[in-house]
Amino acid sequence: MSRPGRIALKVAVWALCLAPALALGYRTAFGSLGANPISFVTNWLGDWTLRILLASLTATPLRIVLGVSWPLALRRLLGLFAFFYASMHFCVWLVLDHFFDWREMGADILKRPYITIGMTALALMLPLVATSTRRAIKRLGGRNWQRLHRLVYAIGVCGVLHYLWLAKKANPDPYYYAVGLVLLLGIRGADWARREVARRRRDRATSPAAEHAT
Amino acid sequence: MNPNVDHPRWSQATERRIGEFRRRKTLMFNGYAEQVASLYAGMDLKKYY
Repeated sequence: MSRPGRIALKVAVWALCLAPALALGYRTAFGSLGANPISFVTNWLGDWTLRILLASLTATPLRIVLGVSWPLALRRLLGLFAFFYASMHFCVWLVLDHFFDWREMGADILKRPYITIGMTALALMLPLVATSTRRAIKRLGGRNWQRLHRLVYAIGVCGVLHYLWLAKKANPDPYYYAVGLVLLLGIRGADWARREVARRRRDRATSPAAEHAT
Repeated sequence: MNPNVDHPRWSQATERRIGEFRRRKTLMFNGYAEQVASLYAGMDLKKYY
């Protein structure tokens, strides 16, 4: 893709990712946050964290299925925005909901699996954010960096479980995210299995041991 | 309501009243201990939280 094309694409992603935050600011300013503003803000930020996180996980499936590679260049931007929304989600819980009541929060983290796993997801994001620069890729080496960044799959699973476990049974939304995640990871899994089978077949075809085995 | 016992899915120790920003500690029997505690005498309040 051409340079202006890439820049236009990134500007569009910036705008799309900032829109939910701006919309939330607008709602806050005009007092349209509903009867329970803190829960509204928390849910809004959590929803957008998951959406952007899943969006960042669609790049590879798009390449596998459609053969397009331009979404790969958007993964870092989307990943960092997912972290941005996740941190705001966390800060709302910390400041607006519990106002630094460490004892209550500590007990919640230990006792409620959905909070434990949400914290896990946030903690797992930190090393990926810290190594999101081009310099970090160079320092770690491409292979190690890639291995580390596979943590995003675990983050996706933790994030979706967080929502599944906290939502009331009648709310179908977390299941949509779960189906999306299973699809996105499943396409990767199927592609990996296909390549693995092809590799083994190739190995067998070229290995002299297989030909002369008695 | 017994604030010292958690509901399986959430803590009952604090509450936020409508129109207030900060959470406050939830009182035993929702603050009506003096009036209603006698009605629950002899009940296992850990079980019937």
